[in-house]
Amino acid sequence: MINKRTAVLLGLPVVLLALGWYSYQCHPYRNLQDALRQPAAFEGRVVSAGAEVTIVSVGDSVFVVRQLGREFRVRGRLSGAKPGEYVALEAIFHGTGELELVRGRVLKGRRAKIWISVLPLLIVVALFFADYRFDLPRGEFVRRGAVGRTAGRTGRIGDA
Amino acid sequence: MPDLVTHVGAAYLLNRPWHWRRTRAAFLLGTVLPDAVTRPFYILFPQSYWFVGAWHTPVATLLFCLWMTAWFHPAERRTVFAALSLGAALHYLLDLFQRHTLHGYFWFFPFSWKTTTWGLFWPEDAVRFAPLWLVLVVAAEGLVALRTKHRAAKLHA
Repeated sequence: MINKRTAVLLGLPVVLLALGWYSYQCHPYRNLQDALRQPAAFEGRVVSAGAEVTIVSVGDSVFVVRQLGREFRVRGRLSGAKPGEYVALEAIFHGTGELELVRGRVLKGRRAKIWISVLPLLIVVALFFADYRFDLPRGEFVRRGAVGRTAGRTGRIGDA
Repeated sequence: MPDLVTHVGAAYLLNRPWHWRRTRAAFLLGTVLPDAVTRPFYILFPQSYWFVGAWHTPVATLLFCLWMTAWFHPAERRTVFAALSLGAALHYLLDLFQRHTLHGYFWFFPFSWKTTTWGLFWPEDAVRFAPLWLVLVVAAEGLVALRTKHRAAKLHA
């Protein structure tokens, strides 16, 4: 007989994966990757490119971006565009692999944002393991210092 | 999303005056949860953007909170679930303020693809204020330490 906890531990990941699959299949936004799979169907249509797109080079009225190892020429001007910067854009797709900028924005500081987000994540994990330990035989996290009962307001046994 | 220094700084300052020791781990974990289960994946594998993007939504986060809660001792579960959910709610509150170039967050996923935002700042703008959060956290800890010292001195007197 499967208990409630086991059902939650095994069932919810399945639900979450199903949500991910639904989002992947049914989202209403057409992006550059969709267009590359069916170039003829996307000719002249507006597509978005925002997931990890970086600028490779910038010319007078054209710039080159890279996504997933592929490079694309984008016709148009983007203020603040510099090689190496992240960018999010909407552009008209042409089967030749060229794009025509509709609107876009250079994500200045995105690289810094990614890197400075690592430290707080590590601090949160460290604080978590300062407060809890994993009880292997029971297969659950228990508060450090708590033996068979919960800690009180301050988290220390005897302070409740 | 604002950076995680902003998210964790805000969560810390909100949680610190209350049941800090008892809830801090779960509250802070809740506040990083929506980003922790999505960003690393699509930064490393951009193809997964729309797959993991589903997890940066309130419904999926609530399911993650439930799943994580099941890993705790039964006596702790109610507190842990509340702290995780409130931490995540604070995360989404801060996310609600930001502007988006392409589309916003899907608050009602999987029921609707409608997005809405208050559009007050660009996600990268918050990075400039990261040092301010650090100063505020250090100042709050300093105040707590001073107050504890003052109380201890009073008790000894």
